[in-house]
Amino acid sequence: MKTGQRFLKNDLPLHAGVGLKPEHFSDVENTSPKEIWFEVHPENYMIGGGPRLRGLQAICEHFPLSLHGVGASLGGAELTDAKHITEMRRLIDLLEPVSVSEHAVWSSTNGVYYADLLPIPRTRVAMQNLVDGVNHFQEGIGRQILLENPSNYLPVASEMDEPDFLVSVARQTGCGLLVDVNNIYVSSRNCGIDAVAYIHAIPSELVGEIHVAGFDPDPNLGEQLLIDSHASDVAPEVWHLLDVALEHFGPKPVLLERDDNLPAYAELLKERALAEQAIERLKVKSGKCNNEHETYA
Amino acid sequence: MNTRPMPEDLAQHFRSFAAYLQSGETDHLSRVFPGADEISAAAVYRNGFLRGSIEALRNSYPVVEQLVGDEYFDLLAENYVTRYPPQQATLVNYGKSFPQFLEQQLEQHGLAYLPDFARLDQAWLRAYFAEDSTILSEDNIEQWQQAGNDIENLVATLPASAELLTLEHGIRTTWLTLKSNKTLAGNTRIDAREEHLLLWRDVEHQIRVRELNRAELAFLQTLGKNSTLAQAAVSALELDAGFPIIEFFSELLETDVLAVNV
Repeated sequence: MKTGQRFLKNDLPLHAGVGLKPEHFSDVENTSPKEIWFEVHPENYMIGGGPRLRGLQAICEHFPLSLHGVGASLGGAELTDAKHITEMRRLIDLLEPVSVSEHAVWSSTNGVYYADLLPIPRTRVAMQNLVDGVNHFQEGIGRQILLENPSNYLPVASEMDEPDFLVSVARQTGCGLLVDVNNIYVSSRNCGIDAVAYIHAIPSELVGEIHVAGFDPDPNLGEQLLIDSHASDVAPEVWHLLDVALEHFGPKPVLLERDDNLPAYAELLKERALAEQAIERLKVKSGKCNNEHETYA
Repeated sequence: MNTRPMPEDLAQHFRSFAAYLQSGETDHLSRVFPGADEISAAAVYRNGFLRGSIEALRNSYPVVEQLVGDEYFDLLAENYVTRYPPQQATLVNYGKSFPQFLEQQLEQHGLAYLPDFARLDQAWLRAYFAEDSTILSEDNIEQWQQAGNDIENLVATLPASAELLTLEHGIRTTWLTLKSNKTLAGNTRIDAREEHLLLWRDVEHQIRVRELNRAELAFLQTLGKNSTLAQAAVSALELDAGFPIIEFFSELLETDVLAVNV
């Protein structure tokens, strides 16, 4: 792990990982490729103890782990509450993750948690609010985070494009970026943005991780509205965007997310292998060796 | 809550969005999505909020769901979420007041025993996620005695996972059948009778459920207050002069119900 910076930096291996669920714990040890890494939502482990937490601890002894938060509400009306930060710190101390990430969204206000990733305006005022939220969170957990781009379903009030907004937040806070190419694809279809131009607007040195996931059409509006469901296989269009992103950024750690309609672990590994192959192709092209870890500014 | 000063426009964004998420009234959304021609897509956010919260309740109250069916459970759960939305970003413990809510809704569902099933579901979950405890072993007791101490003066306690429940209906057998996803017999009856239960997580991480009589309950309640074994025995003997102390204590020891007092 790198030190000497203001915060401990993220240090994911340059390989493909998968989002891990307790349902797959018993499969992990014997059937996983040795270079795999895992990502979990820390909110599901904010518990006292028991088999779920012990199971994850056991996996952490053999594989790198990333904590990918969904509840810090970094862009919200209030700063992340002290209890949430304390729980994050406890998990970081216990699990020693190689990476911590969150979302450029809000989810809580006035004492209510809305259990979804809700959009913030792309205005200078909202940007400052997000910068304050990221700074407060990073200070609180004592770690640098990667900040993920949201999925958009409707156009929000905007004074700038989303890549410019996120890059500026990263520059001001020292956080890295987690580029979710499924979110970019979904946003491009729902709001008419140019997905490739979006990726090309993000400097490689800020990117610490890439996500791929599946989407589904909205049950009521159909193909007019694509939902970032994490409940399906990754679509060919999203695999293509991953190639575009890797081509632009160079080799980066890639995570396959799956939160719903969970397949057998062996099926997830098959899909993950496609991401691993995409990274390997780039490594060969760029001359990076297999054991390198991600580095970025 | 960690409030921070912000310009009125941004504060209004959060207020309006939150008002929509809670009520479903789209009037609030013109400030949130000023450029949108068609606002129906915003339902994805409200659906996400409701679905995430209802799923959390479904995971916490699986036997209640089996009893009432998934559609009716969704109805009850949505009603609950609207009245008592989550307050923390972790949903693993969401729905603590769901059993009381089901009591209040008795007229709607008509199942007097339903809140007891919810209490047992909830106790199972608490036991499952509780902190790990150091379980009292026979070696611990031997060491205590070898040090010249009398076993009567040993202060054992209950593990963090232990739950003592008193329910208004005899539901243990029915709950266990449903919890293991087995089908109930056609002649299943649920009687309105007081039932005392102990739930705990053993060293293999299995959640166990045992029915208690009043003397056994008194013994465990007293132990749970950092009392000696002698004090716990006295509280049981007051209710049952023939209480089999040695047999009960041995059973507790063998089944990981006692923890080292730290």
